[in-house]
This record gives sequence, C-alpha cells and structure tokens, in this order.
Amino acid sequence: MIKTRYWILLIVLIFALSVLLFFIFNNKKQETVEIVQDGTVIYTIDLDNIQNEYDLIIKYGESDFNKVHVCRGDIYISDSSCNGRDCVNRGHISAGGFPIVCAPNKLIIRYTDNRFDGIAG
Amino acid sequence: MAKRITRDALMIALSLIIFIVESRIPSIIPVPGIKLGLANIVSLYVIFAFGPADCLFVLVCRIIIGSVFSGSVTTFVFSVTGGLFCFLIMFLLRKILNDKQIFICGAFSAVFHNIGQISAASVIMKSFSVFTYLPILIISGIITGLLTGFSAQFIYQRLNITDKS
Repeated sequence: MIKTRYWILLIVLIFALSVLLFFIFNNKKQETVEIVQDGTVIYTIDLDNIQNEYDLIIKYGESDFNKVHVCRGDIYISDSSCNGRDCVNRGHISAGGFPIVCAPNKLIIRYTDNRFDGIAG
Repeated sequence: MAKRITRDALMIALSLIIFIVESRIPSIIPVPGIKLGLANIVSLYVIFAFGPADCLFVLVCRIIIGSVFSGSVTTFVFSVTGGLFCFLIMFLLRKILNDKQIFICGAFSAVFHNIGQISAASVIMKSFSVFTYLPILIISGIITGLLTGFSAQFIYQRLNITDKS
C-alpha cells in the first residue's frame, strides 16, 4: 500500500504540470487570420507582425464594402455597407475566436489554424 | 446470484438517473467535454464494495441505456471510450489502493475518462490538435474526480457493504 500522502503529492504534481502546460499552449497560439470573400481567400495576415495599424477597404461588387481594421493581435470590421451591421457589432476576432462574418457581402474573417468546434461531452 | 443481479440492477438504475439528470444541466464552462461526472460516484462505490466484474457490468449497461435515452450516437461513442479508460484505471488502481483512498481513484478515473474522450475526438476528427485541450481536461478531471471520489468515499464508509458472496 502506497501511503496516501504520496498519492496526494502525485496528484498535486500532475495538477501543477497541467497548469504549466495550459499556459504554454495558450501562449503559442499562432495569430494568423485570413479574409475570405465569396469563398476565395483574398488576404492572409499575420497579426503578430503588424508594425502599424491600418485599414483595409474591401469592396464587394459595385457599391458594397467592408472596412476592416487591422492592428497587432487583432482584427475587426469597423464599418460596413450592409444593412444589419452584425459584422460591425460582432467586434474583435480575439473575443471568442469564432469567425467574423458579413453575410450580405460574403466576407469571412477567421483564424487559419484548425479551431476545432466541439467535442461532445 | 439473484441477489447479485438485483443489487447490480439497482446500481445501474442509480447511475443512469444521475447520468441523465446531469446531462440536462447546462454547463457553466464553455469548454467541451468538461462535466461533473457524478455517475462515476456509483462506479467507484461498486468497484470498491463489490468488485471489478460488477463495476464493469454496471458501467457497460449504464452507458448503453444512457446513450439510448440521450438518443445520440456521439454520446455513445464518447461515453464508451471515456468509460472504458475510466474503468481500466479503476481496475488497475483497485489493486494498489485501500478503502481509505477511494478519492484518489476518483481523481485518476475522471482524468482518464477525459483522456479517453479526447482520444476518441482526435480519431473522429482525424486531428491531433484536440490534444491542446489536454491540460484543461486534466485540471478539471482532477477537481471533479476528487469531488466524486470523496462522495464515493463517504458513501462507502457509511454503507460498508462487504458482500463477498
């Protein structure tokens, strides 16, 4: 019989190791986004390497547009010609990690790495 | 023999109810795969009080019936892998741990349950990237495992059925 205290020590160790791994994994996230229009990737941007903030005006067709603001570590739609302006209200991509979508203008901004969607419990 | 079947059936019913009720509770934490795993309390109790054969029987029946009630094949696949990993570690640890260390078995079995589930997820999604979830699953596994383990421990100490027939 191994004494209880050694088991507790083992559990604490594994716990601490996991906490460590957790922080290591979450800092190595590669911050590359791609902007997809109509199914075609039109821009691939590495958010970690942004020196100066800038805006991209992405036109769709004759009169529609999305104004995309790119800054270090973040990207969002700052203005849009679409009706609902859901994409503008969606906010920054860093909030949640889910893609930003402007359906009327067929625009998607998303992270390039494999963000798995869900594991059933 | 009939007594044994009745007893096991009672345990199956118990763990089944806990499993179904727990599956209806909405999760506070958004991470997929994190659950309280309260049905494991029954499994822990059974393996320490009655033995591994009964525990396996109860576990398998509960998984099958529970998946039928929840109506989803995904639930079945993940429950089976999680449950089998969980049982495996409980079976191994049963030899090493004594009756006062049930909570330790609980912690390990919960962690292995989670490991089993993400392994299944990685096979299904054909991707190793799901394993980045491993640290958070181990952390939550230890916490919930200790919770269920202590519960099983208290139950065992109160009931202390040693029906070695």
